[in-house]
Amino acid sequence: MSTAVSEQVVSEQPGLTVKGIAFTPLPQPLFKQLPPIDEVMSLLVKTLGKQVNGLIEQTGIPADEFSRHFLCSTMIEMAFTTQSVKWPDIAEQLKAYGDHQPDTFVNAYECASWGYSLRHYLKEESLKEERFKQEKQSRYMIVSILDANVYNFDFWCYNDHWEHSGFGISTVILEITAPLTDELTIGSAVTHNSVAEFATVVRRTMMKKPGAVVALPFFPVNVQQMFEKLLRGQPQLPDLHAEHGHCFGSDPWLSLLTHGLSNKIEQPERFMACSVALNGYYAIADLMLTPDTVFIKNEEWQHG
Amino acid sequence: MVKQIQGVSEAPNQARMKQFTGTLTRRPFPNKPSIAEAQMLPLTSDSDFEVFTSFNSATCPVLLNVREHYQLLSDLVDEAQARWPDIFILIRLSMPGGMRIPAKLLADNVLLLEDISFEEQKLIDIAKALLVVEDRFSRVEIDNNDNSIHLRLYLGEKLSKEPADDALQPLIECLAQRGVAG
Repeated sequence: MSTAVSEQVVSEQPGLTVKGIAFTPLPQPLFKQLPPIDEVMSLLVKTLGKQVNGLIEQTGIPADEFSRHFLCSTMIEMAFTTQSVKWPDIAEQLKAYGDHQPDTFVNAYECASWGYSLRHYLKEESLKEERFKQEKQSRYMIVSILDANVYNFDFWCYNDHWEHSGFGISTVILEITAPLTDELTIGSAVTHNSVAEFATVVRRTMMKKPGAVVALPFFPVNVQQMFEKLLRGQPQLPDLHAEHGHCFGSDPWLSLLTHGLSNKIEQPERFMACSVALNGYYAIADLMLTPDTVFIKNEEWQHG
Repeated sequence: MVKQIQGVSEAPNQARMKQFTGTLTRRPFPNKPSIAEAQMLPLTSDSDFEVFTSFNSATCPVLLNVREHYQLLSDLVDEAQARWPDIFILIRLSMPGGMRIPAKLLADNVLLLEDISFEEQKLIDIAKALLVVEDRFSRVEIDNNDNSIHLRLYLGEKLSKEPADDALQPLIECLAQRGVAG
């Protein structure tokens, strides 16, 4: 009987585990004097490539075990929109740091891009499984999130939507430990009050995830108050807006990283990483931090 | 890496690829009023203006706004989803939107991304059917686009029932009705 109970408990845990999170804060402004955009991007590529390799090394996972690596962003687009830089060139530079570096760039879903990328990865894996009768899914995938004010636009430093921004590079290594069922909640608001709608989706999702602590995006105090009221006392990690500003898609990962660095994880802990975009797209991932999860917070990036 | 078994006949491949290249030659929805809701990045500091004016301007005309662009893509996706239920669709689409992307473009067999080349190569051997939509419709003067659109459709043998040249026809027709000439 006790075995049956313990199996039941295990099966209730999400099949998604965070193997490592790394974050490098980027200063604002990035430079005293803005270099040409291709130089800026090359410098950021270098930092990203090294961060990814440092994190992989500490997790001890062989570099050829990674199935996919997506690079996501909310606010790096102008350089691509104006065709001042091109993704294949950036991907080629990243490849110098290994084949496990990002090969696809997704920013259409803004702060929720990491979740839509993860959904795509899972879909791709299920297609492989279905078509090739593959015995098992690839276990590891990586998402990196890069948000840097590469043109030093004022709008991205501060605006009425989320007040102060924070910039940085996140890398998250995820392991699929069991076939996923409802670990990932991806959607888009249908109302214009998207943050409130998102909060109600978070609350509804939490009802099905006993013991999960929610890691929310960082917002100014008025939005935090709304979250508190709509989440009705559900456990959540502290909002770090005052310390970091709104760090776009990196927020929930920075939240988990901060938790992991300030608390010893002695047994697996369940969280829900949540992001919402200005246009209402949202991503919620039900996942575990374990005593083996690697947490790296690098010093703030300094050019040169 | 998990090994893949290659050569499954249902998988589309390069040889069964159909393609189309067209150009947007007029406004796509000429008889419909269009809300002037395009949002440019607000510019405030001297540096903002300096950077912004350093971007090149496209020489081709701007014939649609973001809402019309999304509508055109959504119509195209609709057509493809109805015709090939197992299809996977890659669309080159990037921030900034300035408005919410329509629900049909957010479906789980559609991926919106900055550059489709890597993903396309990965999916050719996996998806039963794959449609790639790569447009360079100019929405603002600084995007350096040329109003072109490229479609590539990959169908597995089982899905290639139509005569070879006809598979893309419904999509080409959908585009033609919206001002795209081949």
